[in-house]
Amino acid sequence: MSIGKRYIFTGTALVVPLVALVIVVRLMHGAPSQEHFENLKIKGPHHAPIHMIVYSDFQCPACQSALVPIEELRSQFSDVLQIEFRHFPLERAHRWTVIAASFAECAAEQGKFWEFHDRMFSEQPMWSKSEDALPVFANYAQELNLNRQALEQCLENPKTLTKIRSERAMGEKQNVQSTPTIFINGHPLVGGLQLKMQGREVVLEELKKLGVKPAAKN
Amino acid sequence: MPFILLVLRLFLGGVFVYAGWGKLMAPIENFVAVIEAYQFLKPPFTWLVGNIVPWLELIFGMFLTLGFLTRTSAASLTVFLLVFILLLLRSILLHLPISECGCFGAGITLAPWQALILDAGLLIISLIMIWSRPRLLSLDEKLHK
Repeated sequence: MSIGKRYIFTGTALVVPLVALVIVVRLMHGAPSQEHFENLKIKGPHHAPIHMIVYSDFQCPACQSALVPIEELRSQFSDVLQIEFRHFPLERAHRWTVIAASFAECAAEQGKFWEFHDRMFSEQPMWSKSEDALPVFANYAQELNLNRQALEQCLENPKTLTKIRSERAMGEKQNVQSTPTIFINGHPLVGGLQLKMQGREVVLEELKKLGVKPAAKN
Repeated sequence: MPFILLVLRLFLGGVFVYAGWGKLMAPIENFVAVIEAYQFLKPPFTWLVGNIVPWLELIFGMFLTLGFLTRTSAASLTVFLLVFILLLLRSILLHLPISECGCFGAGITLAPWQALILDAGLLIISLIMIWSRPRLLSLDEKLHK
């Protein structure tokens, strides 16, 4: 056999099993799970056909930027879209992210998650650079009239941190690697740009699959 | 010397196998988002590159590890490394908001400057591979017999 043929044969013998291995392992991993997590960080109709999960980090600037396309999508599909927030704190990169998530989680217990969420993101550039963000968060809590005692108990409760970590673990299970990562009925989109470019299309496709007549507003 | 070259070859190949595998085991959207963060390509090219690069990393990484088409594989990886280095330098100079280089999927997290140092080291190794044609325990050696 000529040297050229030997190389072609060997190359094929190496690449084909490798490609097959990747495909098999990917299939074994399966599609990202749509495991539901009961919490108070949901907005939109309860039985909405479109369920959008947002894995986010309060200190991540890209998560702040993604709020615009998220809100646009929500207003376009307000009657069919439910949004669920899940914590995915990037602790190594963001100093205050876990504390921010804990405050938000405790605000959720008092039914004020979204108010806290909006405040946290709108003032993110300020507190993320601060030397001590704790008084800033405490001030937000006060301004939102959160019950101080209940808040403190919640912050001290190890279950709060466990919940945040379990949401992050869920994200990892769904192959989340960066924030924000958004799942629209299980279809992953990473970052605000992908959501802006494809979010509407994905929602329409999902509605079509479910046989729901699109009611998109422009 | 042949033993050192073998270790370097396995290391360089292994790094690329790991990087390619990590990206292929995650939804492609993750790597596309990494490319988008570097702000040098627009869709649909981000998707095209995002779908091709991990496979090439894995295949050439494996080729190099096994010593198959060693110089060609090392040359291909050199091109990758040069592009990565330029992109990392650009992201640092333009202060792009990239806290993690995205080089290894979810496996290893490196800041752009750390990735730059790693890539510079890998570039030196890949140039050594092109220049020295390491043959110890390689398929090239077997195929030429």
